[in-house]
Amino acid sequence: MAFASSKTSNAQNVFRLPLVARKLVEKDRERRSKANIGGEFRGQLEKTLRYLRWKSECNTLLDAAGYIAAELEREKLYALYQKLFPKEWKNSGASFERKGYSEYHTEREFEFIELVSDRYFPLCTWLDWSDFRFDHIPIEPVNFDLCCGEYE
Amino acid sequence: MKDNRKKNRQNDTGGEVLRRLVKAPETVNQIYELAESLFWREANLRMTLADIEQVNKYLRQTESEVEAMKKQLRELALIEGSFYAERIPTGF
Repeated sequence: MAFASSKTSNAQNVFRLPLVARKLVEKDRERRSKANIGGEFRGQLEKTLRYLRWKSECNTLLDAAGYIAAELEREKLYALYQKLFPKEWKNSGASFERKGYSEYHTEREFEFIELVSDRYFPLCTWLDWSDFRFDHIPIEPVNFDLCCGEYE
Repeated sequence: MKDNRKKNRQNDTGGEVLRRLVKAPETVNQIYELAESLFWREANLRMTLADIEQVNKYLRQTESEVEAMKKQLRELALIEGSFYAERIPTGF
């Protein structure tokens, strides 16, 4: 009985989410129900470690909400990449994972940032993109620097 | 007599706060489940700008619920004398 009521409550929970989020949750549940214990040991271990690291960073409600917001920002960059540079997106082989020197942006995001900087407007080059995730688009003044220049 | 009434009122308020808190996990579960689903999403699964806006809207809606939960926990901490607010394991 308790199981049935918790099942109903879960169904209601998911019902409140937007459609795309519901699909994501359903896919994740499916993945968990079909979870393959076997497979390559090292690969499984790395996945588990990555998950545990994520879990320890995301152990509060606010952390989880912050994580969702950050991932949505990332998705927004991908969506803009697809919309503004469809050919480049199609031909790109850049990874969707954060690896190497940057813990904030994926290779694919860097690719988009470079394209925007090349073709639309120059983005700040002196800021280290590998150290920050910006909540705005940092654009560098091309002519007069009204921010830091000294004018009488 | 007066003390008894005060005590009863405190119990009633505590009960009400607890009843409301029981409902709170709905939002908490949703947020956790969505975060975990995003973590495990397939590398090639992408969202459209409209999808992103919808989920953002949902997040903004739940912000007020999270604030309400924080308020309830603070109230509960005040009602229950031996309650250590900093030890509440909900991570606010």
